[in-house]
Amino acid sequence: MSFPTELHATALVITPAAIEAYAHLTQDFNPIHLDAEFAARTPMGSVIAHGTMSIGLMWQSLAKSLTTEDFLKVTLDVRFVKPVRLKDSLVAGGRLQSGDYPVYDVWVKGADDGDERIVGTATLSV
Amino acid sequence: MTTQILFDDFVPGSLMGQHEEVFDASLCQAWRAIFSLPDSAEPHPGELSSLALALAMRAYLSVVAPRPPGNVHARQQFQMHAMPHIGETITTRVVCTHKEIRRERRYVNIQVQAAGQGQRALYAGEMSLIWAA
Repeated sequence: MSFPTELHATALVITPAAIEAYAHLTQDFNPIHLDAEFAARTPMGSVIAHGTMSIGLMWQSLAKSLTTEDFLKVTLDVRFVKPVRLKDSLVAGGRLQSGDYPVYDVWVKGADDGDERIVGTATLSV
Repeated sequence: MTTQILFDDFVPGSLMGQHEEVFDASLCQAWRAIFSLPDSAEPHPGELSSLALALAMRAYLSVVAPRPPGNVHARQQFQMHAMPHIGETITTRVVCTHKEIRRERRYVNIQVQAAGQGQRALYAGEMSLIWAA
């Protein structure tokens, strides 16, 4: 079996419309995503995007890079290390670790600042 | 108004409930609009996995309700077993697996397991949430 060294990069810009649409898709109307005044009173300081919206970007990156058979062997394990905020331009990607097992380091980063927003691993069961 | 589910109410190891819904094509259209992708007859694997995670969130949010406002997602593990089909009825079990207070934050772990027609396993995941109250 061979696997790509790099995952295809996938991009998304976070807009108020995207957050609102994702809230409807998931039925997640937590005011930390939708209400600027509420979010300002929390430790986050301002509105943040739904974490799973950015994971959706990660799934697209994996799906574009792997066969469907391999894709169904993936276990994704990620941590949210920095909030995703309005107007953030994101890019998801990943790199195959060196070693005997197919494990990718995966991330969602800011396209402009390069800061990691989500990091983790995508492990393919063999 | 129903009392909110607070950190103290979670019992690790307990089944909190089940959620059942039909995987509707309108969810695919909504998802493609968010990611600015063209409409297509057949959803691709990345789309289905993203939607599976969205469906898992819908199940969790339906079962664990009402919640205090301001909860934050800290970690997510997720695994696809099979792709859901449009029109398939998906049943999701929602279980609290763990809770702890760490660095003055209330962490709650919620596991979701989804099955489709004929009990075929579709996906499973576990999320760690920082609970607001």
